[in-house]
Amino acid sequence: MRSRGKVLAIESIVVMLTLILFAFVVFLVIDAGTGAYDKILGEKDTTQSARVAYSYIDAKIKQHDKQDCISVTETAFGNTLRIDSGAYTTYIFYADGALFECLAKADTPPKISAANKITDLGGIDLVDSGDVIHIRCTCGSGEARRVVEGTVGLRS
Amino acid sequence: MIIHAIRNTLRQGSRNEKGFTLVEVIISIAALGIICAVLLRLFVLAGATNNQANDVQDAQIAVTSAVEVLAASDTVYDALDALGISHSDSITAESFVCPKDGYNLIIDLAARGDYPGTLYDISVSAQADDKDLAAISTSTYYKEQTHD
Repeated sequence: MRSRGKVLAIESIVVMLTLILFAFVVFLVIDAGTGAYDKILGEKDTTQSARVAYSYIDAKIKQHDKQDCISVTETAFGNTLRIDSGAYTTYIFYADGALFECLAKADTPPKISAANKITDLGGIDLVDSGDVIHIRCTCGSGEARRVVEGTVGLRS
Repeated sequence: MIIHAIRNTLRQGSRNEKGFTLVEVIISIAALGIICAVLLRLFVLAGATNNQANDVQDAQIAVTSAVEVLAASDTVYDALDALGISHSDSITAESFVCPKDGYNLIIDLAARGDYPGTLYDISVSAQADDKDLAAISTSTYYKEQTHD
């Protein structure tokens, strides 16, 4: 009778330990799932922001592709895309962790207070090589850092 | 129903007491362990799919950029120089491969017709493991055909 009680006690302990082990494994699986989901979502967000910024600049260049209309100039905000359209000039630049667009009177420097925020961004780099403009948009930091870069040809 | 039958069978082989036996618990845990393994596999697959989507996006931009450079240049030679591709002095039909990070950019050029300049059929694709990630075909007229 005593031996049977001992067996039952051991069996109960083994069952408990197995359940605890199972709970631990379930916890690990949930943790891994949450981590994977967060990582994928974070990457998607940074990619989306960088892609939005790239597409916006790309579309702006193609939209205003006229003779001597598009250039890359250095302003107080660094590399800035300048689109001249007669009386007004549009500036697209990076400042305070976002991409901004500012419509100003011709030859008036861009102001952040007068600019519209386009999207959150880590930084942009624009290089005018005559016939083409190289665009490099960076978003995120560390492992989640995402760079979208490409070239837009000028037909004008 | 099936679980109930299995439980009864297992119980007959052991003690005739109420509650779950160790074997039943182990079988249940093993079954749930398999489900967990499948779930983990799904997480890994989701990550891989996300990376693949990023690669496709990069490839699309690279292909578009290459076509932009090819279309914006005055001569086919200038275009290839701008893309950093070494080439011969005469190009009628040629294929160029540029290795990129994670894929190859393949540029096929074929001269079509001979006017004062030449019309080129351009096909640009990004391939990884013999699979097309992105591709664009177009035609561009190059005014000059002389190469320094």
